[in-house]
Amino acid sequence: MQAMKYWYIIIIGLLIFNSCMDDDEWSQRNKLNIDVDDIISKESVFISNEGNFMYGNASLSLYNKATHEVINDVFYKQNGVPLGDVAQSMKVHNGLLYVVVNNSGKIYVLNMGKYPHLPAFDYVGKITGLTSPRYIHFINDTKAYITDLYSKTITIINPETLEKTGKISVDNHSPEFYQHPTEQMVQYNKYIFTNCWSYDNKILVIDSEKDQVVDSITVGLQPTSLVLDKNNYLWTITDGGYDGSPYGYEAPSLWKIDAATHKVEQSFQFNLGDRGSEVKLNGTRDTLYFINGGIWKMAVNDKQLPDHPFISGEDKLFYGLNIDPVNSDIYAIDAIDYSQPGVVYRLSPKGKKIDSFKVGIIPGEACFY
Amino acid sequence: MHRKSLIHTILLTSLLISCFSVQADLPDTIKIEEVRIIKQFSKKQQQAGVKRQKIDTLALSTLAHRSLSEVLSENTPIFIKTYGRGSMASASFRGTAPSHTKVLWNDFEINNPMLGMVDFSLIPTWFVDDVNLAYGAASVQKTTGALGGSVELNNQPNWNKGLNIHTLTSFGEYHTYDQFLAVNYTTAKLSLKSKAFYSRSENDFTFYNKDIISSVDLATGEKTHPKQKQQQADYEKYGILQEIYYRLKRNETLAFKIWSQKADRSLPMLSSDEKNDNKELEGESQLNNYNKQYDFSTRAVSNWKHYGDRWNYAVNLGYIHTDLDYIYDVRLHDGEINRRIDSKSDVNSFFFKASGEAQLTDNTKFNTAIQYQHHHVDSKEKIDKTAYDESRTELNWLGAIEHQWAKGLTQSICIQTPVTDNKFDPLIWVAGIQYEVVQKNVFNTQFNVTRNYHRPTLNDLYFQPGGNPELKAEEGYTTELDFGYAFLWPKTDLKLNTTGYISEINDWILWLPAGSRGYWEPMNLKKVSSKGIEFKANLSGFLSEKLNYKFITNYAFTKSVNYGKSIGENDLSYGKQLPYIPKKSMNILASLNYNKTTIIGRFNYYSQRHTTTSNEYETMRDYLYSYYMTNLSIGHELSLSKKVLANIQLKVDNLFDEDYRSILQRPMPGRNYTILLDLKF
Repeated sequence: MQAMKYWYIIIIGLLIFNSCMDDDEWSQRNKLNIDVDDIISKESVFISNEGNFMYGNASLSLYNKATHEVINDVFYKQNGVPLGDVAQSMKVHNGLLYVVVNNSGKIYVLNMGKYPHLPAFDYVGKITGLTSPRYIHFINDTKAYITDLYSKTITIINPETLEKTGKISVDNHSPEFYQHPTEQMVQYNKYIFTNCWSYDNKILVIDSEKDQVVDSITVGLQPTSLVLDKNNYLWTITDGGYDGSPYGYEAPSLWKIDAATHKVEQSFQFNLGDRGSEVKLNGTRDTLYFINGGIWKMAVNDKQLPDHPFISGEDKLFYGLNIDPVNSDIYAIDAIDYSQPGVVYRLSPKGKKIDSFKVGIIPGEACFY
Repeated sequence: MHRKSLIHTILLTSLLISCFSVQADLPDTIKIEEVRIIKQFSKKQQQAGVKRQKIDTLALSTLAHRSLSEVLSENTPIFIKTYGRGSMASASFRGTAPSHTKVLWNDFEINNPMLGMVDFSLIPTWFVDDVNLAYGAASVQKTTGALGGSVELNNQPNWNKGLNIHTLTSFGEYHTYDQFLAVNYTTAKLSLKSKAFYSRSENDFTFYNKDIISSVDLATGEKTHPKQKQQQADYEKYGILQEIYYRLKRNETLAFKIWSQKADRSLPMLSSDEKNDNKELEGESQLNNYNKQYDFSTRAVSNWKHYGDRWNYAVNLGYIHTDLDYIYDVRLHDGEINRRIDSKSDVNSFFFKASGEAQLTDNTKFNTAIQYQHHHVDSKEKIDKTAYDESRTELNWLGAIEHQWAKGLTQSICIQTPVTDNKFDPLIWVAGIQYEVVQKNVFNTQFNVTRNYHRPTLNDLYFQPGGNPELKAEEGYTTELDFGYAFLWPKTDLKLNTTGYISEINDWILWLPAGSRGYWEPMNLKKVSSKGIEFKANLSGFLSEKLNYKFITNYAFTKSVNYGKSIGENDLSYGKQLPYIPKKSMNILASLNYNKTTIIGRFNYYSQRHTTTSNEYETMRDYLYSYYMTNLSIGHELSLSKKVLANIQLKVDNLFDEDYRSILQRPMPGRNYTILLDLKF
């Protein structure tokens, strides 16, 4: 019996150390409940923060262009669950915000006005069971495409029901490399173009009525991004692979392609060892921006690359680049050491700093609303 | 002199069972016990001024059916970062990186030269006879690059004549089954020890997943979370260990040990993952994605030892082969499973060591060794076709001298001259001093300064893509001051130990993206300063003839801070604690033994850990809650016959059913039970 007495003392001691965590209480207290009208009237920018791969620390930030106010982690604060692992991209369609969470294999669908009685960013649905989703493109109200890095498939969904309605195979059955990994999408008439980045050099052309790959355009190694300018030319920038890559290594390059004929109009070479990425357009789609160390800017009609970057990348490595379609303000992203909240620089179209603000870990895309 | 070290040895080794019961339990092997003591005496002699800790045998026996990761997290100040039950577990010793903790198995380093680290979840406690921690400076006696310290795992001969069989069977929740076997056969000259284990678990524990939403009411916006079964966390591990000890002469022994094991594990997805549609409790869904890891290793050492009057010599040979395979499968549009990642690595290491130690004078001891290591890594990824095939040769000379200046005052110096791939590396050295007073109680203080040096791993140098052959080694200086006090009362022993250390590590290696998007590359970026205090207390004794107790606690305060050059103007990581390193940690092992019944409580605490380098609180994922874990076991011993001794135990893990995580979005099981049956023939 004496033994038990001592044991009780130990147990009581341990109980004192014991504590409980209460996430639910925290979420209730911090619930945002922002009105969608507020977001629209204040000209907001949403920023998706990828977070670290396999950490599950992606997040969504909200920036107010007028007041410069920032609210971080809005998805968690509204819904009480984390966004997931690697928030890749975002799109607003019919009063809903679609957030593609790449390594969680899902797309979150959030209220952005479709449900007037619900607050902004409130969870209303999801598309799950995706392998490695990257981007979503809406063809019409009942059809959208989702590209994927690993599944060799473009998934077709119905945005009204969020059900999967079909699949397009992009498997080229290459015995050598794992192809095709599809990325960003742009549309010209009924054709959807998508760039294939990792270990690839193609831009696939998909007929959105037949849901079939109908053509492919060969560019340099590893096209990173894709836009369509006002003259209906596609632009992509390649990163050229890396030194020692079994797929190859070359100087990065910028490509201009006629969307109607699928013919390459011109390609611009950088130097070996440069790192090209993130080709973007301004709101009027007449000026290109891209990253290669610093930020570069050129008119879509220019016949040669500029001599100097528009914004030097000396002191920081820019990770992401976004252009405000309304006023062409530049949102350049500094991910710092990729393990702490990153910083967004908001610059005027002339490159003058307007603001800088801290968001989440590895900020990626900005969505202007 | 001899008497003093005998007392010291008893102090070091007697924590669980009291001196009385040790003597009472000893069979007719007094002579052999003497050999052990002399060995420990000579070990002690080489290491004046540095800190070592032997893990209590109670801790090892109570966790014999688990992996070493649990032994370390519950009984030492080492922080174990675990990805989940049965999953990878890496160590941070004094706030350093996993590759800065070296693990020696019978004197040979078993860290994977490709990754630098050791997965402690793959070391079965059943296979080790004793575990010693060599803190910072103490590691330099046997290895290099252990900037935090080293963990020494040893197997010892059992010279009790005859045949002994020991089995341990355990059944746990989540379809967990473990079987362990040990057979010892000993004659006057030969000791054979065979051990084997088999462990498997579905690991399908249920948890309430607050990281995803299962349904929403669109009228009210109300959401629910699913109750799920953990998927893809199953494991199966098995292995054998054979030890052969042979006494060539009275003062010469030959030993051979071989340890081979295999582990097949599925790697669970994060709790926020929804690649596999729905993981609701009811109805298993078809898996669209899964990960698997296969580990296979064979380690062999042989050793010849000669004990002379003045000189002791030893020659060791070792070989390690490790296969580490990882696959990631995805389901394609046509429903077919396609392999996306198929990575294989084949690592071979060969070791040779010759050493000698001599008692030069009554007060001076000298120790020298030459060590050769050759590592070869063949790493391939089949789908993306990346690969590297590289090797490294390390040659080391070690010299150590220890001198006793006056009674109780001893000084030691140890130097190593490492040569890597025919190039001289900077010197590694330790200088230590120790003062000890042994009267009724024992007081001990020691101080040391160390310079150590950690080579980049072969992945750091050659991994495709990103490996950087230009990387410099990480190098550091450590200073350590330690006080120990042992009170020896008639029925109670109390041992207290406090250590303070300061460590500066330059050229700390960090992987960062090389361009704006794409692959990552290691760089010598950070400068880390690690400072801390470790406190340990052992209390053990008798309350009555049949009632004894033991209470062991470790507390550590660790400040492991980055002082590296800032990465641009926005970098806030300067002066901040490294991610995932708790500032405070504590553990307690308490046991109470009455007659044949033993109750053991194990308690473990880690303070809040940051997940970012800037230590901010921007989101709920920027930190992890502090962690309290309590485990309890009750065992009863039965004599089934004259020759069969049984022990039945009931274990409760996570006694208070804590909802906890060691890493973001890696759920851990709630309260769970295990039944163990231990039989000794």
